[in-house]
Amino acid sequence: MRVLSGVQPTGDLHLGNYFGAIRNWVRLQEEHECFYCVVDLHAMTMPYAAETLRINSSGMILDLLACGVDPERSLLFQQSQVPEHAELAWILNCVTPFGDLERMTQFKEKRDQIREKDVEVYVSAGLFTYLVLQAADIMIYRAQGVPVGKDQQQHLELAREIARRFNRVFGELFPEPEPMWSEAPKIMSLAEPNSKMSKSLGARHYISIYEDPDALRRKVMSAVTDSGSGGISPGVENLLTLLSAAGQADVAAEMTAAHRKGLLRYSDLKSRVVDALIEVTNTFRERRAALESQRAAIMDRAWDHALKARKEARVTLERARELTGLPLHVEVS
Amino acid sequence: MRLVSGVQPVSALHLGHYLGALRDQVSAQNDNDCYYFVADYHALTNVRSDPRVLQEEVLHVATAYLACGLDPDISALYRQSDVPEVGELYWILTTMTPLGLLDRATSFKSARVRSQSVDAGLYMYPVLQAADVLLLGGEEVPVGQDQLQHIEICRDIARRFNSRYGDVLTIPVPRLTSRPFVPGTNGEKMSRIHSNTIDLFATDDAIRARVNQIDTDSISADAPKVADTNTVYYLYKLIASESDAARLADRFTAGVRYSEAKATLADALIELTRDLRERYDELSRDRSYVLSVLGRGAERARTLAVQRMDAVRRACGFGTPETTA
Repeated sequence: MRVLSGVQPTGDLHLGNYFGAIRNWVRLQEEHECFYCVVDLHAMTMPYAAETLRINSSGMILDLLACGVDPERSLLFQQSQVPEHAELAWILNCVTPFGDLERMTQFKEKRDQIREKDVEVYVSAGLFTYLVLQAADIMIYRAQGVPVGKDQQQHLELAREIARRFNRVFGELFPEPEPMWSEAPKIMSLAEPNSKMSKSLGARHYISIYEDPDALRRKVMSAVTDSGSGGISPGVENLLTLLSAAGQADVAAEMTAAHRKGLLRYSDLKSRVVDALIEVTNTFRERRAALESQRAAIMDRAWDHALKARKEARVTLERARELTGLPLHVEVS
Repeated sequence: MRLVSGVQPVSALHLGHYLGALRDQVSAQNDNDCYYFVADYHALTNVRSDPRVLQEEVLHVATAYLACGLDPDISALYRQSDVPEVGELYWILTTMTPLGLLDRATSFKSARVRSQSVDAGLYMYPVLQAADVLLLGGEEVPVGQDQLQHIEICRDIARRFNSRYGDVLTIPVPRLTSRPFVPGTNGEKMSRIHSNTIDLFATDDAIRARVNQIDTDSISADAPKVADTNTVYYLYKLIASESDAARLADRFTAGVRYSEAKATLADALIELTRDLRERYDELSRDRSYVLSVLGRGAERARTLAVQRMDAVRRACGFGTPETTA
């Protein structure tokens, strides 16, 4: 099956990204034809600095390779290097109900965040049509499967609706992309275990996939554990989840049982978590150091992958142009 | 001045198109560098019954512009979708377009009043329009009064881009053209939706027949009449010389028969359009020539587009440092 997934170039990945999504990418490539895309065009919908975006976009390619995305099996490229995504997005706009976009939960949330923050910052039209571009990301390759989490379900539903509308209005072209649910755990912030792990909350809240061992130890040791209520607190549960995600499910199970009997010492739990995570991050750091020395060649390959992706994209786009009545492109640049 | 302007693909251009815009667009080429495109991306917001319909409409409009005197050696005439960079710039511009600007666009508001189920394309339309102009570095955009809002949106977006990324985009100014009101046979604005059009390339007989259908009042034949409020006179004034128009106005005051006034108008229209129609018919037989004109136009437009996109991409932070250096 052809699979498409994208990640925003947000700077170093953290373990929440890795355990929650990227590790699944690595698994999917064993069975599927995967297109993995660093979505820099999407990153523009929130305020950003150009130079940072440039650095983060190429950095993300290295991160994904460090995490185990295999460029021999999967295509790994930057979205902006395949301009067909944006062209298809315009065409899809014309079959996307305005009201559907207005109803999207994530749009409403981000809109309200922006409004609360600063009157000078505005809600952009890009934020509003973001999901049309996301649908184009999938549909330009006629991908059949998209790995999604619960919070993405509404977006995939919209993409399916857009595909159906296009097929009905202009003619059969796009498969309706299927959600690929994964068992990926949801990793929470260390300092605020009721929120998802995120860099925007601050350094205490997340662990980079390259986290230095000392910093990692400090962050885990000072992680919030008890909220004072009975049962397993969100903080403890998060630590157990991390432990089990890092390959020590059996230890996590023992500790859960110990906790139930009131015998678990949080300092023990934390030091097990530290050891397990240091092993994970050490691997990433080593791989990244090796990749860094081949940076130029890696970027050339990403460019090469973008060209391969473009070839596929153009096939779809030509067909879309034919069905909508636009002239066919004569040359391929 | 570099002028950039779009034309909607339609199945048959009528006098409203010609007198309202086309005539001015053609004469602008005498002292400007004109880029005119047939807006087929925009046209997707109105789905045609069959993809061939859109292609025929595009070809019709292009042929008509050539027939009406657009010189392809001077001006560039191209299909919007032959310059795909516009889709890319469109997306980038959406990220610096405040939603409020689009909410206030009157064309969207009125479309929403007409129908509950509008598509996002209609809402985003002004952003694509801005991309058309900014991509080619248009310095002036010919607009009528009712289009001023769209060019203001375009200027606003361009200023935001430049203040964020440096002076990459040329900020266009509106070139206000008179865009006269052209009444149709029932006195309302001439438009296909009002079924009141007089087609630009209609045969002499058809023109005469349509002119005879122009609504007039039932004042007795010889009674004095008011020229200014009369559709026949109004149309005549748009195409006749000042002295000829004055002569017909005098006839109205003296008490003209409408049949006579209509014959005067029909004669003038036939004289105006006969050459245009002959050239149109001739060009219609040579599709490959028209297509080659569009191809050449697209090449010229793309030369500008590719350069501009390069600067835009660099400014926005796309590509790795290695490939953009």
